[in-house]
Order: sequence, then C-alpha cells, then structure tokens
Amino acid sequence: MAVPMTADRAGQSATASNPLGAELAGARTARACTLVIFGATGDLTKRKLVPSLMGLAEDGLLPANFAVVGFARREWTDAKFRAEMLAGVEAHRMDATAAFDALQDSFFYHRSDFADADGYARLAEQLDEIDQRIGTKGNRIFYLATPPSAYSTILDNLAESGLSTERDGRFSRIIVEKPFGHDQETARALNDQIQKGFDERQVFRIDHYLGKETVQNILALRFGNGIFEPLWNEKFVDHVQITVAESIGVGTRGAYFEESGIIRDMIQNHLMQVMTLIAMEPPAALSADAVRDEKVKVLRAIRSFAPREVDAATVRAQYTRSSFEGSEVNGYHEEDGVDANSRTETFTAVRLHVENWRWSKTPFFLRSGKRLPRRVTEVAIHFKHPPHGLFGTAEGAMRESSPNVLLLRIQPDEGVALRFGSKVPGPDMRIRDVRMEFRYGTAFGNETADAYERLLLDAMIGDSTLFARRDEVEEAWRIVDSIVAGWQTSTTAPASYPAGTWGPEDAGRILGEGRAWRKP
Amino acid sequence: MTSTTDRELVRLPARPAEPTDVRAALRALWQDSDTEGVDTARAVTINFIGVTERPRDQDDVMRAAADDLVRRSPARVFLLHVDDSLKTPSVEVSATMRQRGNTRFVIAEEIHVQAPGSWFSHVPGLVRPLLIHDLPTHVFWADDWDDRERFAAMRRLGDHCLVDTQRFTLPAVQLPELADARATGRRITDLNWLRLRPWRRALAEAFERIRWQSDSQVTGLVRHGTAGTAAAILLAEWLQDRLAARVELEECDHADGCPESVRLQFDGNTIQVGSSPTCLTMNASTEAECFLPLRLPRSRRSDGGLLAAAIDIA
Repeated sequence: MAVPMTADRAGQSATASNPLGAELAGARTARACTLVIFGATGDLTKRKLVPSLMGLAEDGLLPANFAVVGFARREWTDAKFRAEMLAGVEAHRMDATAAFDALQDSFFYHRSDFADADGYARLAEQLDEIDQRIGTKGNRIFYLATPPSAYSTILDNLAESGLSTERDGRFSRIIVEKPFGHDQETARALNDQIQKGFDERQVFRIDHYLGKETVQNILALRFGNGIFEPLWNEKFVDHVQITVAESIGVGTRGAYFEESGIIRDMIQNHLMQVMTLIAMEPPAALSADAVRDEKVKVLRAIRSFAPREVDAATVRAQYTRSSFEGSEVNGYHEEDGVDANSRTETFTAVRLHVENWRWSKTPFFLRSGKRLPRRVTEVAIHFKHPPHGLFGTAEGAMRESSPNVLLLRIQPDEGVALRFGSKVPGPDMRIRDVRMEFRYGTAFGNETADAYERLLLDAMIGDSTLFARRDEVEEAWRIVDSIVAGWQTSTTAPASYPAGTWGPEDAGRILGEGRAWRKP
Repeated sequence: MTSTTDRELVRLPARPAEPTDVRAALRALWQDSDTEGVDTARAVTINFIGVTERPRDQDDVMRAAADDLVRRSPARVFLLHVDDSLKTPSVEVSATMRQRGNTRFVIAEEIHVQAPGSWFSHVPGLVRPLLIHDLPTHVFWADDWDDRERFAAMRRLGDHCLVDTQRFTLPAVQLPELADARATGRRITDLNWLRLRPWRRALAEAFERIRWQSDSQVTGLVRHGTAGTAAAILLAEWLQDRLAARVELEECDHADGCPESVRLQFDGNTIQVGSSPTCLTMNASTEAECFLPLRLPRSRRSDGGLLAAAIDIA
C-alpha cells in the first residue's frame, strides 16, 4: 500500500516528550523555520546574510529544516536567485560553498511589489507549501533588508495578511536593520507600526556591533572576572573614551549621509550600545530582558541636553581636502551628493554624564568620525592617579608613566590591554608605562565568526539579548535629538579637520583639564 | 636560524634538550625568536599532553591533532612517544607561532619526549615540573588502551583525560573498564562519542516526528564494520539506556569507524539512519505515513578538531 509522504505535523512536536531530546536541546539549537528576506536582490543579502547562513550551515548550526524565500521586485526566478546567492557565497564565504550546494534547493524567490497585498497572500501560500515540502513547521522570520522607506508598507501588509500572527506554537519574528527612525518621533512611529503586527518579543532590531565577539566580551570581562568590577565606578575611573573611527570618507553615499550625519549614523546606535555595556549594572541573569533592562537604565540616567549646554559638551566638524595614504582626497563638501554649504558633521565628540551612584563624577566621551587616520573601535577606561604620589620628587619627575588604562579593542587587533607603570631597571626608582596585552584572535587561534552569523542564529533561536529593545532605541534618540536641537540653534559652525587627522584641533576642549584624546 | 612557515604560522626548528634542562631550552627558543627582530608574546590557555606508543617518525595522528588543537586552544604541548628502539630518552623543544606584523604570538610551546618503555615511568616526573600550573591540563591517550598502568600514571598528570575508543582493539572488554574508570569520578572524554553526535542528533530528530511511550517495546539493529565496533557498542548502549531498547549489533563490510546504519522499530514505527561519506539520512515512518527524509552532515572534524571540542566542553 502506498503511504503518503508528509512533512512532520506543522507546528507541533510529534512526541509529547522526546526521549532523545537532550541531543536537540542545548543553548544554541535553532528550530526549523523559513527566513523571508524582503529586498533579497540587494547587496546586504548577497554580501552578508546568505554567506553568514552558510557559515552557520558549515558549523552545523542551521536548523535541520530550513528554507529561504527572497521577496523583491526584480524579475528573477528561483534559479536566478540561487545563482546570485551562490556568487555571494563564493565571494564572501568560499569555504561554505559545499554547504550552499547541499541547501540551494531550499532557496526560493518570490517576485512581488512590497505594496501588493496579493503578493503577501501568494507568499503565505508559498510558505505553507514549503512547510509541507521541507518541514519548516510554520515558523517564519521576516528580514527587512530594504531601505527604511519601504518598512511601513511591508509592515502593514505583514499585519494585514496575518503573516505576523503567531499561533499553535509556531513563531513569527521580524528582523529590522538600522536606522530605526531618524529621531525619537520617527523611531516611535516605526515601533508603533511594528507593534500593530508584532509583539515586542517578536521584534529583533539589529545593531551588528552587538554581534561582534569583542563587544560580547565586554560582558564576559566585567562579569566573568572578580577583579574589575570593584574598580568599575567613579571612585577609581577618571573617564571613559569610546571611539569608532573610520578612515574612509562618505564615498558615493553623500546624499544619504547628508540626512544623517555621524551622530545619527554611529553615535545613536553603535557607540551608545557599547557605552551601555560598559556602564550598566550587573544583570541578575543573562536573559534578554535582564540585560536590556540594565542597559536602558544607563540611557535613562543621561539627561537630555538643554540647547545652551550643547556647544560646551560637544564637538562637530567636517573633513577637508588633504593628502591621505599617499593621495589627495576630497573634502566633505567636494563629495558627490553633498551640498557646498552643508553643516552635516562627519566628526563628532560628545561628553555624556550617567547620573547615578556608580558614575556620577565620571564623564563618558564618545567620539566618531570619517576620514580619520585609521579604522579602529575601542573603549579606553582611564583610571585615576594614585591618591598619593610616591614617585614624583622635587628634583624632577621620576615618573614617566601615566594613569592606568584598561583598553578594550573592538576592532581590529581585537583584545584587551592594560597599561600600568613598572620600574625601569637601574639605580633610580624610575617608573615607565608598560603594556600587558591579550589578543583575542591570535590567542584563540580561529577567526571569529561574522557578527551576522551570531545574530541570525540568535533570531532563529529566539534569543533577543543582542538586539536593541524598543525603549533602548527611543531613549538613545532622546539624547541625540537634544544634541541635534542644540546644534540647530547654535551660531557656531562645524569646525574642520584635514582628512587623515584625528579631528579638529579643539576637540580636546570638552575633555577638561589634564585629559587628552587617545590616538589609537 | 631557519624557520618553516605555513601561511601565517611560523614553526621554529626543534632543538635538543637535556631531560634535566628543558626550561633552559625553552628560554633559548624565546631568545632566538626575539633576535630575529620581532617581539614575541605568549598567551597559552592549556597544557596538553599527548601520549602514543608509536615512534615519532611513524606518528601522523598525534602531530596532526596537536597542530589542529593549538589553532583553537594555544597550549604548552607535550608529545610523548614510547619507542623501544631507543636505548635512552631524547627530548626536543620547539615552538609554533602566529605572526602578525612585527609580533609573534606563541600558540604552541612543544616538548617532544621519546623514550623506551623501560624509561617511561620517569616521564611523569619530567613533565610535572614543566606544566603551567594555573592552566588546566588535558591528557590525550592516542592509542589502544592496553597498558593500564601507564595510562593511569599519565592520567594522574591532568585534570581531564581524552581517549578515542575507535582505536580500542577489544572494545567489548575495554569499554566497560572505561566506564568503571569514569564511575570513580575521573573526567574522561571519548572522542568517538563526539564523532557520533550527528547520529544521535538524527535519531533524536526521528522522535520529533514519531510518538514514543515509555512502555514501547523498541528493538534495534546497528550494522557496523570492524573499525566501527566501539561506535556501534556506544550507540547501542545509549539507545538501551534512553529507550530501554533491545539492540543487536551486526558486523558487515563497512570500512568506516562509524556505524553503517541504525534501525529502530516499535509500535508499528520504523526509524532508519543510513550513512554515506558526507551525510546521514534519517527516514522515519509510521503505519499511516512516511516522513520526508532528513539529511544531516556528518562530522568532518579532524582528531584535532574533536580534541578542541572536547576541551571546550570539559
């Protein structure tokens, strides 16, 4: 007798309890699902998303039953989509092409306009067929890899079509790329719209910095070791510098950058995320909400700026034409798409105060810019001088060292370094700075996985610890909006700095007496 | 001084050392590296001791495993060879470094000891003072488990012992003895058990599709080649333990160290897992329906990769 071929019962485990279930349980096991990528013909999918998925497949971390549907307007077919994605894997994750070969039959293309309601009905039918053929159990993840202008249409249609609704044990999640709005008002509007179709626990806002091993290592360093936390407060820490420097200019993205500036492009998201990890209280657990609750508390403890306070607490500047890395490079005003009279900043530094017991007297300095001498992201914890100087004498300084600095290098040369003073061999008690260093990548040998691999896996597992929560995003916007409002009423024009230098000369004025910007 | 390079890895040539003065030989390695105009740093994370009864010039396995391991877990590595062709012990030291710009990071400090069996009782006394004592020590017994005394002496050097029962020649006898050793509280990891993870996962996936009850009468058959006897026994014991299954083993012509196939039957249901060189295929059916086959990649980890995984989870 012919027995019909079926997928497993959609949405339900076939056994009340699986006697061998321990092999499937465990911290990092993702459930069967279909990933629907809106805007799948774009660069992000080909360059990052699919190569990262194949990296997970290579490591055996992709769910056993998994499919991808690319949703976009171009006149592609399944075959064309698969060929394009294979090219992306070959270009960006060559070691995973075998994984793509094994999985390519699970890649499908759905051609539709984002505004076409019928397109979503057809998508729902296609997803049901995929459940039957591949066994993806009715679980869906929707990835918005489109320009933000398309979000609203897609979100409305996902809600209207019922695709966002979870039922019968199936999950439906949405992943949203930054920017999350342009200011607090638009961020709230976007969040409100998302929540017409999705509960907050279904929403995964990607800030890819949180997927970096070295950013996650901040939690491991702080809370996995007993020696740092007793010093991690205003009694011992003089100030914190967080730097995200890029050596490239705006390139062909001038028109986009004009709308955002560095403060929206980098400070509001990446630097504030790193700052919250540095400043947060230890969470009670490593659960998503426990960690994010503590991060939000940091943001809530930062006052909005009054307009008159902004100039004294911030620096903004634009890069100018200069010789850099052996050739002449344009100034910002000469870049494509940039208005000759633009006041959009390509460099900013801000001084923030976290007004709580732990940090009340310790300023946090956040600095980011384009066309700086090198690409580097780091956090420098500057400790205070010892309370009593034994090694300075009337005859002249015997000490050639500086206060201790704990350096967390996010990229490149990922690792941790501690600067401390040591006696120089010789008859005098002369002290000099030395550096004790741990290099993450070399000490652990293997290359670290791309941030997107970790984040995609977490979204499939349903762990939102490394994704920004609604209130985090909106609080960060509150702070940034107050700075931008201050700039808009300021009569001070942005300063300038030659491309390839560390920013404008007066960037140090917000640091205060006795402090200097690091040159990483 | 010449060095061999493998992409970004630099391996310093081995230099002989007196058994009583290995420390000086290691220091000399560092000094030599520094004189090549580079800074040298070290960030090892474990002590790793590999023991084999194969002479060094006949050993590919332990060398390859150590090379793989240190890429993930930089280590002070002791490679110990029993070689009865030697009259006296010989010791050499070398180092493997990863070069980045003008800095070399030592990822393996290596101490090679070759000694006749009659001298081997001195080896723990040679190794123990050289262990970096604030790091965990992992001992890998790379061979068949036939000299219990020697194994016990080496195992006592470390916090964690690793064996590969795929190398056991009498697994039906040796596996229960290994279990007894574990029952006394000793941490012993079997690489062969890690190698079976895709099999265990495939079988677990079957029970996501098919209902099992605690009173189900499960019968099973594991087909295996000679090299896969230990793996078959491990899998059968696991199924007996988890499912109260009656599992038979059947030897067949299969070259692989893993089983050729596993079949379970109960309550009119059938679960079959078969293997090809690259993947496992799980088929599950009930009396009423037949589920889509599930394919899972087989473990492609080298011995070094398995060691690294075992050390990570120890």
